[in-house]
Amino acid sequence: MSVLQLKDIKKSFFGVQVLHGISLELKEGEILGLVGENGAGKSTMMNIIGGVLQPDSGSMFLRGEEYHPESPQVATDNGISFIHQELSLFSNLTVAENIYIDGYPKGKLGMIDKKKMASTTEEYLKRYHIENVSPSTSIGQLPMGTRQMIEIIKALVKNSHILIFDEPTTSLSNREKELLFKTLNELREAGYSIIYISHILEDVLMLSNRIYVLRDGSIVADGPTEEWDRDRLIHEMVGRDIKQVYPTLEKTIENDVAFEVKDLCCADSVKDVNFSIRKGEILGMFGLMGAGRSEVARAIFGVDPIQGGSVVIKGKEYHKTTPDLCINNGMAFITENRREEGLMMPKPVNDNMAMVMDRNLVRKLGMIDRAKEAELNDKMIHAVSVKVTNPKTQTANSLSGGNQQKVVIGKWIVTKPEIFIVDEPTRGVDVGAKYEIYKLLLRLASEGAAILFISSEMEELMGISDRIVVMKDGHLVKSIDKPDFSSELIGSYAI
Amino acid sequence: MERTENKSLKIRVMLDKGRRLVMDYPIIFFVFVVFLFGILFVPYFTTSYNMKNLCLQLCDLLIIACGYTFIELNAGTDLSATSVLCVSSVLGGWIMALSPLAAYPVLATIAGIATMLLIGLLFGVINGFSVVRLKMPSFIVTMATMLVGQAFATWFAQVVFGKNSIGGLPQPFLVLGGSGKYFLVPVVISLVMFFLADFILRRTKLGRDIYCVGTNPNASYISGINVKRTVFIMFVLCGLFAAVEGIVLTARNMAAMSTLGSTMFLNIVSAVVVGGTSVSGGFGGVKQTLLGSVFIVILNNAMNLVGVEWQTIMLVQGLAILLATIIDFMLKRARYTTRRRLAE
Repeated sequence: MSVLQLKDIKKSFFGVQVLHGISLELKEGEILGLVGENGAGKSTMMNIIGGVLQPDSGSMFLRGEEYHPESPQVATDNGISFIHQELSLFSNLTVAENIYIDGYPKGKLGMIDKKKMASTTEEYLKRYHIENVSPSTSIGQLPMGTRQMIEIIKALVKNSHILIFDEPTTSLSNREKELLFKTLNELREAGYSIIYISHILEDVLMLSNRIYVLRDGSIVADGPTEEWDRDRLIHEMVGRDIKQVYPTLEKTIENDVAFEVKDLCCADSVKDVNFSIRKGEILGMFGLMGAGRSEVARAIFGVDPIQGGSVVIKGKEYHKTTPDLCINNGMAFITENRREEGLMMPKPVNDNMAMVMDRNLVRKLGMIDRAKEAELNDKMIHAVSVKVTNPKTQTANSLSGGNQQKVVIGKWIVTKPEIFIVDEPTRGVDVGAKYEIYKLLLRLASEGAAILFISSEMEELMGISDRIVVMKDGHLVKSIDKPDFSSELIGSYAI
Repeated sequence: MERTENKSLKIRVMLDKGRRLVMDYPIIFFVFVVFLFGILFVPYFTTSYNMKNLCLQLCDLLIIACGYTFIELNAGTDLSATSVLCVSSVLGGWIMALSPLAAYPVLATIAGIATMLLIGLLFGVINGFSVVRLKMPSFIVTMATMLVGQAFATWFAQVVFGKNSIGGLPQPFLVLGGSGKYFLVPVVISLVMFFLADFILRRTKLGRDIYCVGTNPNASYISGINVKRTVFIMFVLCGLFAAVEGIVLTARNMAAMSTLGSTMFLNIVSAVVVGGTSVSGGFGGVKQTLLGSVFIVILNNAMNLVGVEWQTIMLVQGLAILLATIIDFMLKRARYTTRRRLAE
């Protein structure tokens, strides 16, 4: 019998269609595996089920009745609970307090019934094999696996009958993982329905009854687990026809290495990354969320500390970098997060453009050469073709995503850097602007720039890179040359 | 057909200009109102004596408020700004009136001024260092330096002077206060400080950096701006401007006072915030602060002349700050939402 049913759910953000009519069915007492690349639409779909987002069209049914969650509270009241990758427990509170955090049992005079809290918690802890933990232990003292179990208990106490797990094993040890899987199987036998989202295909294959594959906002395949194997899953996840046309530009890759990373360690998780980029080369970097791509970029540019190894910029080796130093050495960093780190959203386009170039326009008394500044501003807005009526007054946040990104690129290329680190430059950008951004990057490379192009869209990486390196779990696992590009091959290293 | 389009474009550009004036100088209307109110309803408001008085009161506020604008542009707080006034006043006063140097008026004046500026620098450096290096919230740091400064000034005056204030400052120093025929001296000093601040903010790299850091420190850092140094310099500038204010005020009172500026903090913040410098940083400037200072000074002066009690003045000032903050909030939303219309 179906517990939860989605029918033709559609959703778009800022004119970009994210879900193209999702239909899905969750049966009673089953574990449903859900796999897909980053950006395939998994989170959006879950947020719609959880009432965080509202669908543009389509309908949902809960045990045959129409279900319209206007808020996460409605979803909780209807017995749907999420167990997220990042646990939502308060580490300064006790186990029992955490379990009852959104609805303490009330006793006399509306006071909190601590006795009941403790006894129920104790009962649950025992039932789910968590020994040596008392309801009054504070969460901060417990290992991650136990915290995960407590998160599950928290859901069960609320009488949830649908549990949605989003990457639950990322921070667990193997033994903790086994315990989690055992519990999941017990829950299934007890009649709970579970949606299990994970990048670890082996786990999904082992646990689930059925598997749905999500790609680019559509369910592209589904079927009972017996029919699946790892290779077929990867094929369905990444195997797509190239829909987009990529610009081509004649360019030569020179022999000089412009930039090199040696045994780079950073962000506690990225270890011993090595790669080099030559002049005129576009090096693509692929990896799933959490593989450490952006961490590498941030450490190179000195935004986050380098914990080991070094970067070699135009032949000079540095063990510690700052953005200032990198810029002086002709580097540019287009971050993945343009709202927070790329632009001053409430400021006019010109002010944003001037952020980097002003360092070169300082004249006597620390004055800015305003004539030169204005000239370069105009030139850049032209060069990257930002659609803006009055760059002196029009603010960055009034622009579309694509034009905002062009402003970020413009503000960097104005100082004529020779090494670019570009992190997800086409995220939240419409198709037309994407094409223009590819063209810009290619043009820069043809003029001799070395470009590190980080993306989670495999397709665009294959479209414009000369070589692709794949990251997985903080390690650079493979470098693939252009003739060997195929989504299956790249996917098999990344997943 | 083309002509009508041209016309509608012109109107849109004009509307945009008007909106920008209101967005950049939201206080302008209120200054006008309060000035008109003074002329029409307040006795003696327009007398030359009162106008002169207004001018001096404006000088008393403007310099330190310009300094405070730097802090506000980074959404910070400097509670110690007024402590710079009293500490520099008592120490400068001691040098000029009681130390061995006091026998040589010109030398004493120079030494006194240098000491007072050094005090401002010292406060700025301590505040800036604590915020930038020790990553302390500016409110806490400057509260501590404020308390220490005030306590020190009181203690120093009690022990060394045996009272709260001391006169007998050298004649060349008193010129800076604007007594008698030297009326224009403090006016010129404050104008110079005002234009200096405006020059820094609008024309220099430092000014660009201040606005960038105040708007988005992360993006600024990645763009190669030295965020820490910029914030540090803001505190130093605030300290120095406060010290200049300390010099002018001490000269005007013709006495070094341990209570100097103890009631001024409210006026400083009012002038900056009511003027239209955003409490969340990144927007505003000293032109706004000038208008805000004019507003606060006229308001205080007019209500004094009418003879209302101090609590009423405080009430009106409080409401003005509240209103200014609400306007600031609304403008912030407007900056985020309405500009899109122009794009289309």
